[in-house]
Amino acid sequence: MRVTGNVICNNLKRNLSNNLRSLAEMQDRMASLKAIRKPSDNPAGTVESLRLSSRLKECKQYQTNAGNAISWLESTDDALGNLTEILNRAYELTVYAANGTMTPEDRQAIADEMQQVIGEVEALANATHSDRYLFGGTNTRQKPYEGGAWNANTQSIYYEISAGVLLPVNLTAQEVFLEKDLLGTLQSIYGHMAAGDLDSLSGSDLENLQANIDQVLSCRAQAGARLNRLEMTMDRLQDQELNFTTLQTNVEGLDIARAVVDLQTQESVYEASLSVGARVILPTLVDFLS
Amino acid sequence: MRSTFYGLNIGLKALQAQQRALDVTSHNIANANTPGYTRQDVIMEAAPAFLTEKGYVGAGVDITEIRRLRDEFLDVQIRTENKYLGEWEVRSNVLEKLEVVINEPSDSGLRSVMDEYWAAWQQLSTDPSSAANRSVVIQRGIDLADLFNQTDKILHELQADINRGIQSCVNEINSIARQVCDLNDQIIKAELSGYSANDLRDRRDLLVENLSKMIPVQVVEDRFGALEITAGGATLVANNYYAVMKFTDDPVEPTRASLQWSDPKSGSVVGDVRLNGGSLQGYVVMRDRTIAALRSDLSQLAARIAEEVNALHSAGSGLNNTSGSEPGLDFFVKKDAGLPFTASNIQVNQELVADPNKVAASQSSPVIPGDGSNALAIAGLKNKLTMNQANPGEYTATFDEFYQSMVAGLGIEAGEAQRMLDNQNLLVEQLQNQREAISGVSLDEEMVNMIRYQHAYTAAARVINAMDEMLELIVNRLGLVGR
Repeated sequence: MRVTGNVICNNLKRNLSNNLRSLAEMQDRMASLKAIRKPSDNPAGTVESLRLSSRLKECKQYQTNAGNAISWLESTDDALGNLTEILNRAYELTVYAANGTMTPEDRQAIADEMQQVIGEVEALANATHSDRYLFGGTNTRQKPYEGGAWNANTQSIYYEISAGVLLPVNLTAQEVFLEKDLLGTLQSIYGHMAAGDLDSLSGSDLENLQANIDQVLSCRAQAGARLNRLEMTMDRLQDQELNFTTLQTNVEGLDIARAVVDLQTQESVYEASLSVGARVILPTLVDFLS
Repeated sequence: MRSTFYGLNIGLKALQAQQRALDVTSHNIANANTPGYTRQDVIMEAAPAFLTEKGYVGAGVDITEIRRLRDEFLDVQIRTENKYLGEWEVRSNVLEKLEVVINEPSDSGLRSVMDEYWAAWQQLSTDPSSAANRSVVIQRGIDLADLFNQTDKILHELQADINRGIQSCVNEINSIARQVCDLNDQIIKAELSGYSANDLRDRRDLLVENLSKMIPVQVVEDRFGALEITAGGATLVANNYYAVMKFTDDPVEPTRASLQWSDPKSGSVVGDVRLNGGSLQGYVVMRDRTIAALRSDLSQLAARIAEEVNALHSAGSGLNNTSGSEPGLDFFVKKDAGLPFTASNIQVNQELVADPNKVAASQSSPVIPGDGSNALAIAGLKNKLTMNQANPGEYTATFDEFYQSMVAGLGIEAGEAQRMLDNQNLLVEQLQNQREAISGVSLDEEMVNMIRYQHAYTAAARVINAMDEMLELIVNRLGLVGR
């Protein structure tokens, strides 16, 4: 084949520009530290990367949800803990008042304390978690117990803690207070104290109160069980996040060691092609004619 | 009997021939880097000999032709490959832009904005009475609608830009057609002498080659030397006629722009331009297929999101629905109510923007403020099959999957275009090198020729010198009788 200067020049130009293009691409890759900068770099990898990014975002949101659920249930647990203590005190007072040796004045004093206990229980029925009433069902903005009437509904508040997994986070007034008519029990105890009805106090009142304490304890156990479940879910979500992040790095991250080697190879290839070019394009016969 | 001055004549012819050959060499050197230039070669021939009583005696040299060294077959091949080169150049260029517009994978693309939107609903479901959560849902909704609007607008502008590209392509085609027509005329006139009009032909071939990149051409040379070019389903140039391509843009809907042939004299439309390659075809494919498909996919996505969200949202209750009789609101509304939902025809309901309390997080009516079940249901749309309807009411893909396959499709197309362009570039370059091997000017060769001709010239001059001396001897010195 006949070779002319232009053929050599064209080939040189093409090779130089190809090498420079590869070099620029590698430098860009190094600078962005991303193996996939646009969909065409790796279409399948792009889909994987989009999918993982979405999952990661979801995972973070579930963690936020679970975190909120945990703090809600912790508030519930605190409230139920207080309630248990108060009810234990009420139990003591009732046993105390059932004692036949007590004077009516002493019993009245106990009845007065009982009155306060009732007030505290009523206050706990309106316990809140960041301005929302814990025991109001989904009716979180209205006091569950107000002026002797209950506004609470029996709806559960569901948080999504993993894809498709809904966890009820609230215990309703129905479960805690109304199931065994806690306030009714306390009020009848108070009535019996004031009236000195020792039989009822030592009989049905104690029985009813014990049933209520058991009910509150079982509610607390439920809250505890849910908290446990949430802690586990949280752990799993954190593991998942780590997994997704690792996978994502695998897909779209750059293997730096390899990229550096590639870049250096490409640099020397480019330099070599430049130095070859310098030799190739210089001489023609013109240079040697006198 | 030999004429006394016969030798002088041969010498003169030799001088003239070598001089002419040097001229051609110098012309070749001068045009070594001229695009489209074909090297020329001087064809010399021994002049017809004279018969003498002792046999034939040579009469020196004649130049019979100054020949253009060109392989027509390579030209045809280059023209054929050029149309693919032109098409893929345009496609790869436009697709590269599209990849920038879609901007994935990144933290600011549609993927991220959709994720944020669904996450905002999740967040609202955990505390539906919070004003902050409500505002976030609205803001993310606005972000989403804005991104749909903006992406669609950019894609629309890209289509309009493509039409400008087509327009300049069409202008160039028309200008080339006119020039080829002029050159046809000049070449016919120049070649009446019987000699090839080398440099005019070079110019014409270069024009046709440029033309072949924009639109596939079929080229036939008639017996007078004029080129007849057929392109786009019509005769573009024939002898001294040329057709005019007419492009009518449509600024509102760029895909409705039309490309037609018209008669240069009457201006009347002859017919539609039929495309099957070249950069014109590349532009049209991008505008009418790739970008149009992207826009339609985006619109479909926007419309389905709007429909699904609205169906749930309008059935729910905002905080304002305390009576149970407030009508449900749509979350997304059309900008132009007369048209269907598209990527450009979608926005967040202004009523919600004005009063975030109207965001319907609750499913119960009248509203229960702590009930986030509707927000949860809307957040759940993210993982629901909502796209690619198989049967009425039966879908096979989620929003995310639909979007992912759209992006992957774009990536595959862009990758293919880049590969095709690389291949085609290589192919055309190889063909051009092959042609260069035949038609290109080699300075080494020209130098050798130059020396050759120069020496031949010197020698011919020497011969004349010898003749001169012989004549001097005969005329001036031979005998002194008669002085």
